[in-house]
Amino acid sequence: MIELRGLTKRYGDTTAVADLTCTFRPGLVTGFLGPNGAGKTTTMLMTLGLQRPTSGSALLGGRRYRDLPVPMREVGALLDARAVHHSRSGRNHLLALAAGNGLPRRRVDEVLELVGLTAVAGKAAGTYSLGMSQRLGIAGALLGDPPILLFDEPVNGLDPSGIAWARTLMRDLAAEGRTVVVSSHLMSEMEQTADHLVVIGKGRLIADMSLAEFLASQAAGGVLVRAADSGFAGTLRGAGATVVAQDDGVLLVGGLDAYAVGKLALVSGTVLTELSPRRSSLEEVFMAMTSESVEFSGGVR
Amino acid sequence: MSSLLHSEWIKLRSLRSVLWTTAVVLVLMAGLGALFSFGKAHELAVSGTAADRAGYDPTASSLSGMLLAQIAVGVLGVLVVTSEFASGSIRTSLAAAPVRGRLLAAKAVTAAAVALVIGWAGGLAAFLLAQRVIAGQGLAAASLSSAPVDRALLGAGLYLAVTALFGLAVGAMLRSTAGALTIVIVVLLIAPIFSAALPSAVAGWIAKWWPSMAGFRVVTVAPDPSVLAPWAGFGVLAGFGAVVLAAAFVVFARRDV
Repeated sequence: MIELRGLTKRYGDTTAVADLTCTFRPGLVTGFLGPNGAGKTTTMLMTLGLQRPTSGSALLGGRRYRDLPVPMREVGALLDARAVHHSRSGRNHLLALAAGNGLPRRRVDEVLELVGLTAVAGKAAGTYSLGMSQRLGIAGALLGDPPILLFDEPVNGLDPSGIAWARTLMRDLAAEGRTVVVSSHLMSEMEQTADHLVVIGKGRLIADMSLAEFLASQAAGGVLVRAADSGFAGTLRGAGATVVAQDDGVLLVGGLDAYAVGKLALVSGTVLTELSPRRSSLEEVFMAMTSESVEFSGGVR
Repeated sequence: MSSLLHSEWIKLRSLRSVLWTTAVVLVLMAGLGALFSFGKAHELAVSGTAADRAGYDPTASSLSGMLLAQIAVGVLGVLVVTSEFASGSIRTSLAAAPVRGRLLAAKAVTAAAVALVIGWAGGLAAFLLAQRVIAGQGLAAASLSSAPVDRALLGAGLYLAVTALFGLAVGAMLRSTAGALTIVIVVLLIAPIFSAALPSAVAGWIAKWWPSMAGFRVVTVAPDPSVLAPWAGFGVLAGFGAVVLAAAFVVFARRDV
């Protein structure tokens, strides 16, 4: 559990994070979303005690990060996968981290195995691909077997099988009851990984809700209809629907759901070649929300 | 704290560049010590007066390689901190050790310990090799049974340890490798060299009080009333190092990331 209470960071006149209050709960993968410069990384850095908040606090299991006696046993974090000394081997990087928190050496071999880097563990980290670096970063986060995990853009640079692996890992970690926070700019990835979303824009909270709620909250809605009979549009309008003809002959129907449209087609004896509810993607909802982020001025929707 | 020391030790010994540098410094200390001693001893044997020979300090002469070793060790101190800022791994290190002063302390102890060992091992090797060379030229060589000689060899390690801490402190304050290296090299080497071109009063003051020059007195045996006594000179260097290191701790602890 991570609780942010009125977390604020100002650099001179610039406000990077403004009065952010929200909770990241255990047992869930929480997607931490926002456009570039929204303050995601600054929030993570403050949570990890790497930057001092101007005001407010971030509590991990009720304590400030710097008060954790053995931080890696409480919180694991992947911030920047490339932030490893290039000529040090992956294994030595992890050994140094483990030693600093008094974690056993065998734990290093365990996490290397877990992320699939055992074969290249002796090679210099500078020779790793971005995907391998991400795996090394994830291994470092898992070293202390912590109940709280923060991943900043963990799938960046992973190939499709790597992305699938990371997605399964995040879900498994959450299923074990851990608090898993994943920041990403890949909205499609969140749609398949996250249970809950915290969205920020310009440092302010825009949304803190389940994935389903989030999608529903801004559903563009409507039903896509393709009818054999060109007069069906008139029939739909007659039933009180709004109809917008798309370029490809598809009708975007508002005001009626798919069931009502299908029933109308049955009654009027029209053949429908397409009938599908139009669901807005996370990407669309996200763009719609964050493009207006100034107007939301911290209000929780 | 001991776990952090272990962590820093793993970081240091897992870099091939550190291992190579250490080996090269040891060889250079011994090699340059022998070479300089040969040159000076040969010159004295061929053309020196009795007074020149009497004023010759075979111990200090054998430790001439310290001039170069201090730069290598100062660079090591700088890199222990700035390499982490350059790669960004300082964030990972500080997340694993959130009480920032402790991380810097662990780095300081590790770097100083390595420098101490380099100074002792390199100094002893240089001394033993150079004394054979000096004796070979027919001059009076120094012996390990002399207390001032033992003090000089002890001082070689201490001098390099302070140099490493100075580099580390400058690195922690500047965070950039290039800037910190410039300062370390200017303070340790360039300023003493340029002082020769200054008016004699200023040059004399620098020879006596400039931290690296005062500190160097600890590896000399022949008395020189124009400058500080060996331990007094080292005290000036140590005091200077302590002030810079304390400033580094204050700055490092207060900063974000």
